[in-house]
Amino acid sequence: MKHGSTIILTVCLLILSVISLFIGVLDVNISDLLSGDLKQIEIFLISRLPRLLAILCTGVGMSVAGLIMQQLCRNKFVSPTTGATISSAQFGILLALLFMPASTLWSRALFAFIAAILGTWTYVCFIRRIQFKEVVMVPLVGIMFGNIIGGVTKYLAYKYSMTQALSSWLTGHFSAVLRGRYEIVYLVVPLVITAFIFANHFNIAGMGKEFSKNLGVNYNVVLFTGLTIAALITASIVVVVGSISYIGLIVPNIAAMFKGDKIRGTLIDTALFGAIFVIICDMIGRIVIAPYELPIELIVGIVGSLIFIGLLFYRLNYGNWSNRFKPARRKPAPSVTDGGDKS
Amino acid sequence: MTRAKHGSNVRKVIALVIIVLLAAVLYIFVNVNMKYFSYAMKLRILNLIVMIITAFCIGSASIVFQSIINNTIVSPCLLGMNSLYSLIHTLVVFFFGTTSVLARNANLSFAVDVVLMGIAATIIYGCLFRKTKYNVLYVLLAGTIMTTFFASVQTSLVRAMDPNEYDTLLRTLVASFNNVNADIIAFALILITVLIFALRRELAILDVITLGKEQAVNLGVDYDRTIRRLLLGVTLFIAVATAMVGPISFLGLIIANLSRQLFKTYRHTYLIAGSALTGMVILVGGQIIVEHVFTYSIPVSVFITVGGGVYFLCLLLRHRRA
Repeated sequence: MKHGSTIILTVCLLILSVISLFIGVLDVNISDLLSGDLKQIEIFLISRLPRLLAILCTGVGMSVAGLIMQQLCRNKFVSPTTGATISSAQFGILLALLFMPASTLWSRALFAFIAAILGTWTYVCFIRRIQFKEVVMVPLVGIMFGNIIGGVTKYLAYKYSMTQALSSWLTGHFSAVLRGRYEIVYLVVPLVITAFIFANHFNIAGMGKEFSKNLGVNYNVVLFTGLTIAALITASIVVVVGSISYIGLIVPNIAAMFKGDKIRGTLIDTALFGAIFVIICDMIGRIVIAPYELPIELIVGIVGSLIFIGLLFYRLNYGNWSNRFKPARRKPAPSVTDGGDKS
Repeated sequence: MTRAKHGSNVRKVIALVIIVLLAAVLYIFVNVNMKYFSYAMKLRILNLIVMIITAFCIGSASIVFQSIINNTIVSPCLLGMNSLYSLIHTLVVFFFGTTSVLARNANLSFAVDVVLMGIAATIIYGCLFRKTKYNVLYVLLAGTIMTTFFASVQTSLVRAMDPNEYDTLLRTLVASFNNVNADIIAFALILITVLIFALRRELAILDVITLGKEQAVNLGVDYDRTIRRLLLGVTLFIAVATAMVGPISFLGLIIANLSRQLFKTYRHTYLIAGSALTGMVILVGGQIIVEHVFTYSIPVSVFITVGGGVYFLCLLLRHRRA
């Protein structure tokens, strides 16, 4: 049963997707759709279906981005949120709004891409330079980085009274996802496929500079390519949906608890699980105060931070979690950001 | 401590007091419109008092907190204590409504908030410290995550609220230095005095606490009880500061570390005085700049977040090098 978990996750995801399509303020039901009710088909095509696709892309993209970053930085607590990627992307969007007020979604996306890539690179260079002894220091520095960039963003937004224009990118929500203005999120698909092709390279780079050199892998190229892919995925999601924290942090960790650390083996499950997580959070957000809805960022913030603190305590008490579920393949806990790199 | 060093520290405190006084005078009298003199005075003096109380609360609470957990890169606000306060305030308004006595009487609502905050923070942070076995880094990471958690719950509640109630809430919640909550000054002052009086024994032995648990116990200190009481005090001080001006996360970190750099001593008398006075200088000075240079276009908290974040990263770099 090598693919058992994948099959179960796929079935769950399919069921949830169908349910998600039929939750909403206006009643849409299958029989009317099939009998050709034009109005209902319109709602379905303009709002429901794009929303579902955006949710799926977000869940898949954020969790894969998190997985790549965690593997490359050799630290289980790194993710787009704790690695300054999201806040850099927001900064990029603000710059686009400031300098090109008439900019289209695509040019804003371009700014967000560049800013996200630069931000992530800077952060990773910083933590590689300092070589923290404690695992927890790395995400902490990332959060600080994010705070500083966020502070500058806020400052500029205040100064040019853009706070309101920016607010829809600060709190992630799916309510504005309609046909015609969400398609950028499809960029996630080719990027995730690329990540899957290079998965083994990321694995090797995750084992340290010396090790990858021995295996004939150019460490720096793989490291920065991987970070770039993660940053691009994150930025394309931030441009459409806004910031969504914690998915990239929690989902890969939970997947790793059951499936281990080999990216090829975990990537698909991680992606599926991420999509399920986002779909469930989105449903909660839509149901709690119906007919209004809570932005997904808030639901993920509540559920995600609780799970994260749980993981933290678990890790503190039992060490590396994949050991717990796989006692047969015990290996030393991945130590610091860059243990093998002190030449 | 040598006498010379002692003398130089006293001089530094006096110098800081003079700077604070100068800043205060400048704040009150700069650009004042003589036509509305008494009105301007009323506003500015209230603001000044609030800023001084806030700086005192955050400064002393941060120093005490750092000494308790023996680490200089944390501050109680970094652990989300001020977002917890905002959450509790929102919860009270959410469940009792803005028309109840609780929401209309500023003093009463503050009293309820503070009591709830004391209970909630003792339970949550006590549990946090126990669970992480007093591992400061884990506490810090969990704390930053808690900040998101509290803020998310609070924003969700606010979104689910009636718009009119939300308006009323916003006024008390998102206070900044341009919109201080002056109704509770008297009450806050009484609370601070009572707290300091109740904790006078614990505060007096802070120097001993810094030696670590074993040493302190050997010297006859009831360590656990002292820590518990001090933590409660820290929590309430933060509650006072947040209630007055809203959350400012990095201020405590900056001023506590500046004070430690300035005085280079382990005597808490100097550290606390230094931290509180530096806080006053930063707040009053920052407010003068915000009001007269930027004409209110930017809240002072944004400066403090950016400056504080950069300062934090520099601190880390220096710790590594040392």
